[in-house]
Amino acid sequence: LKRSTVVISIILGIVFVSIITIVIAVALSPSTAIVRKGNWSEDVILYVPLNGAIADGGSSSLLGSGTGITPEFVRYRIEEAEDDPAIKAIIFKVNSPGGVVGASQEIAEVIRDSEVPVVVFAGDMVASGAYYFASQADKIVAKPGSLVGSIGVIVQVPNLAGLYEKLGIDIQTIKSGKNKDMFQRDLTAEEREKLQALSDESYRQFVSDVAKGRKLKESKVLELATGELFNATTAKKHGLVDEIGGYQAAIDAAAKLAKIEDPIVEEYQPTFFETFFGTSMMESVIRLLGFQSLAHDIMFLEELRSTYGMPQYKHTGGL
Amino acid sequence: MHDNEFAEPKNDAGENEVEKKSFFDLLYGVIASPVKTLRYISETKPVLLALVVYAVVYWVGTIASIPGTINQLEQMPPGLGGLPLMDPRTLTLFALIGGPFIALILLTIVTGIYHLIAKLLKGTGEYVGLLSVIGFANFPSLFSAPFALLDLVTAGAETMSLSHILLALVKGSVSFGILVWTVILTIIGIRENYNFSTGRAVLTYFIPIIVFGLIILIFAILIAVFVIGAINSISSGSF
Repeated sequence: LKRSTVVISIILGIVFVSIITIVIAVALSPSTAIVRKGNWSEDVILYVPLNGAIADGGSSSLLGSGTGITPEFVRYRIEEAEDDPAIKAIIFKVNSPGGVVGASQEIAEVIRDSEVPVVVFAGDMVASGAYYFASQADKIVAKPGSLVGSIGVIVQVPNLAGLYEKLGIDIQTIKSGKNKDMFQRDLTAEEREKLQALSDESYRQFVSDVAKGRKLKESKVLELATGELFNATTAKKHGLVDEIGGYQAAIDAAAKLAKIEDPIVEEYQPTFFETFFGTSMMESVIRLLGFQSLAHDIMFLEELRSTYGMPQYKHTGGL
Repeated sequence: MHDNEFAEPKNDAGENEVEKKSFFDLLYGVIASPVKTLRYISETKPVLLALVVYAVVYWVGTIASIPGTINQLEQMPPGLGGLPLMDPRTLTLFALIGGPFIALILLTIVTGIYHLIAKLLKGTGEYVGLLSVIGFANFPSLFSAPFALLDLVTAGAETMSLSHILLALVKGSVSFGILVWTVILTIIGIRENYNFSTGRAVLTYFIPIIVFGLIILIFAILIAVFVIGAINSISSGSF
């Protein structure tokens, strides 16, 4: 190799690595618009959209990464707000069918313990696990047509025996622990009971936390906890929602809680990574490539894999 | 690109040189033997490659400046920092997508101004040759990228801490060094392209900068005079 080729290759390599490092670091960093170090006199309300199913960040796959609502994401936003003296309140604009139990409870705890007032502004749907954490907010504002509720638990165990047979896969199981293979075949009556108990326990936790968060009697919440969705006007009558209104109503509610006037509303801006690799972008690319049906199949399999036999606080209609 | 080769131009004796320089040879030459290489570039005029080099250098420079831009925007008050145009993502996306095109347009204009001045100073070179040498003369700006990582390192540091000041000094020195380096290379390029003396090449390079500075200064003085006059009129009530 000529000296010029070697030297220039090394230089370009170093430049390339530097640039990639910068891009990755910036892409993974949180929104800089909301991370400020100064003591500004302005009163800021942080507005954070939360869209999609609730998932634990660690269990996300490539297709699921950067999508949905994770405890980490909510915690980071609240911690940023707590560390920034300018931010006086947070509005979470929520549009979600719920999701896994643990993550929903973790988000609920983070919101409950937040030092800054939290307002949940309901989008089209705040269902199940999403309502679980919303109930811990200081206030819930919803549009008249927002769908709220779906308090309940669902456990779904797909029986894959037929699929395996179709594929010619004969699974031989060696197990220690009699229920270890319960999700690989038809459930026995005893196993059904166990899963029902598991579901019931999650249900009790759900009802109890909603009652505490909304300051309602548990008996009242139990009446509402049929898994059904209510539109916001009905939900308000039941005490599941505080206020009917839109964007401005949410801001007014947050300002009132924070005891501030004329706040500046800063909307959380996603990172480059979220912008370019979030669900919407990924789906757009897949659609462009004509792999939509394949994408749906993969996502369905991913859904099966990640929630296999797990109790979920999730509304199962459509999403 | 590596295999893209240029024939050595005919020398004064009219002989065909067999030596050919690849793209990497040119880039290496700009660093290792700038006079010879820039003379070669001004004669062979690889203008498209020069534009590619300039656009890539601009692109890398834009990416390298992201951490610094973000650091500065973080210090802004919320009302200002929250403006859509002040959002680092908006700025960066704009610079990344539209920047190279705007940079190339500006390059052709600035080169045109240099060419005009060089012609006024009795230079004999061509516009395309100048465009080529300026494009390649900016190659060392790529070295700013590794040092831009320092901005990432210093992002969370206290502004007055010793490490922050030291890193800022290193970064500032390197940036200044790279700037001086590219200015010298551009002056050499002008000299070689127009068969100038070094003094005339320096004049060609600095005349537009000085004129532009003077225009700005005159504007600033005019605005200041206007403002002071207006304030005096208001205070004396002589409208």
